Amino acid sequence: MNANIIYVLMVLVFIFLVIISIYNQLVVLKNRVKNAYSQIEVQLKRRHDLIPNLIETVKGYMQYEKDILEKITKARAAAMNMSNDAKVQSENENILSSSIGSLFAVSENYPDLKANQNFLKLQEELVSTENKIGFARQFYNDSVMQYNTKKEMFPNNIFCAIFKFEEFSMFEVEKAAEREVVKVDFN
Amino acid sequence: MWEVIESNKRKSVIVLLFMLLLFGLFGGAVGAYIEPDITFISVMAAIFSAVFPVILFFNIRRNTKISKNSNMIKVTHNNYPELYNIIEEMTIASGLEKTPDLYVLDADILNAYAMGTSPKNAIVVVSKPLKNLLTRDELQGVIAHEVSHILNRDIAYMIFAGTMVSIISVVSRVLIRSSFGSRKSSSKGGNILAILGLIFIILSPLFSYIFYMFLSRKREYLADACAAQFTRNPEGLASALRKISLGNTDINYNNLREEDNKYYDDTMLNASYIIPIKKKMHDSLFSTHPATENRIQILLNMAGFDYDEYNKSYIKITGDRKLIKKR
Repeated sequence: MNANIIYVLMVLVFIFLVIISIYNQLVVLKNRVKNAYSQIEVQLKRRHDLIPNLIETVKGYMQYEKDILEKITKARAAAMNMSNDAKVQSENENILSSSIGSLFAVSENYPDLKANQNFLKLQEELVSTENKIGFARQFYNDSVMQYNTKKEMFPNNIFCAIFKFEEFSMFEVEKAAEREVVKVDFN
Repeated sequence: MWEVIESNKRKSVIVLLFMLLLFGLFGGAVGAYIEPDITFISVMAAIFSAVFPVILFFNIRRNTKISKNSNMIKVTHNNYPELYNIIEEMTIASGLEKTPDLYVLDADILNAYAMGTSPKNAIVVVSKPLKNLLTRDELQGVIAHEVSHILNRDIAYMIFAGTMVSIISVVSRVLIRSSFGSRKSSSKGGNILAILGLIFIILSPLFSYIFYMFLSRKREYLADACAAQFTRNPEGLASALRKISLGNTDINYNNLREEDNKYYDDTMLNASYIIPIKKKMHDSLFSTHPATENRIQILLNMAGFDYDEYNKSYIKITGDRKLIKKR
């Protein structure tokens, strides 16, 4: 009589432990996604902060490139507006990326500028920030995919409905131009 | 690729538990040999043998501070901004919580290594000539490779495995000596068992050493694969490996890591570099690293940059069945 009850209890305890383990795994993955997202924002903001310095450094040398500088300033203002729509925000950031890229491409024609230590430092910082934005997005996407996969697997999908784990959507890299800015070769 | 890392972690734990089990069984068998039949002694011996490597490992971990030479300069945003940015980038790409400390080593070698048993206290060291030789993309690849080692906890794992190899080698030497000494009387059937046991004891250091090298090579490949995925640029790492292997000589490695040498033997230190000091042409049984040419070819042959592509390329170049499965 007692043996059966013990077996049933053992099975119940086992199931309980499994549920806890699944729940905790999902919590870890969900928080990883949230952290990854905030990392993207940190890098985007860092880029916003670097730009005024860049424009100041470059202004004196690139008098004939006023339109590029204006484009950057406008794009930065739009991006800093923090539109609520994620798609629009992402668009603005991409525009900013490509306009900074154009600036660096054009700076090849200005050897004086390229010899300026300040400019070189800023270039390194901006290139690194672009890289970090790319890596942060990539890590975010990986985290989302891990999280979604774990959620959809059986038996986890049953629990997610009960515990209400939210959905996340992945970041899409829309323009080819944005990808190019991310990989700058220093050869 | 994260599934591969998870799978690798699971398999590694299984391997370690299995080895501990073997240790325990072996200890129990020795205990049963000394005091015939399964008694309290053999059970204690079994438990002790299984637990001892674990305790030893934690002791090593606790007693060894990450050793810093006076030739190492810590990288900050001020003195090496490019390197500092690169390791921050790799931290973001790999999802590590804390950026590992990066050091530039003022020595006349072309190499880099990672040290530290947990991501929290891990460091990466790059030699100065290497930093001057490589382009930004190549440095990124090298640092990504080292960061992957930290992420996958390879250093801790190899130290643990290395500890067990050392224990096996010491114990087997002791047993061989003692079994040539006094002889316990045994029946005829027992003699064959004793001989087999003796052969096993003599060969086990060799087998465990070979297995250790196998584990080390697998982890090097995995670190390459992770680096390729993190940087999205396999050519960077491939080009760096090519440059290092062309420029490297064996000299100048003596007394390089005096502090580290106190706690870890040469094999374990060799395993932590990105390119081993003694190079081999193929993936030989006894090398800590795969052949550099293999590593370069695999990276260059990747169609994309994720783990599946690395795996396909790996299978094509080495002819193995698989590197590490996803689940």
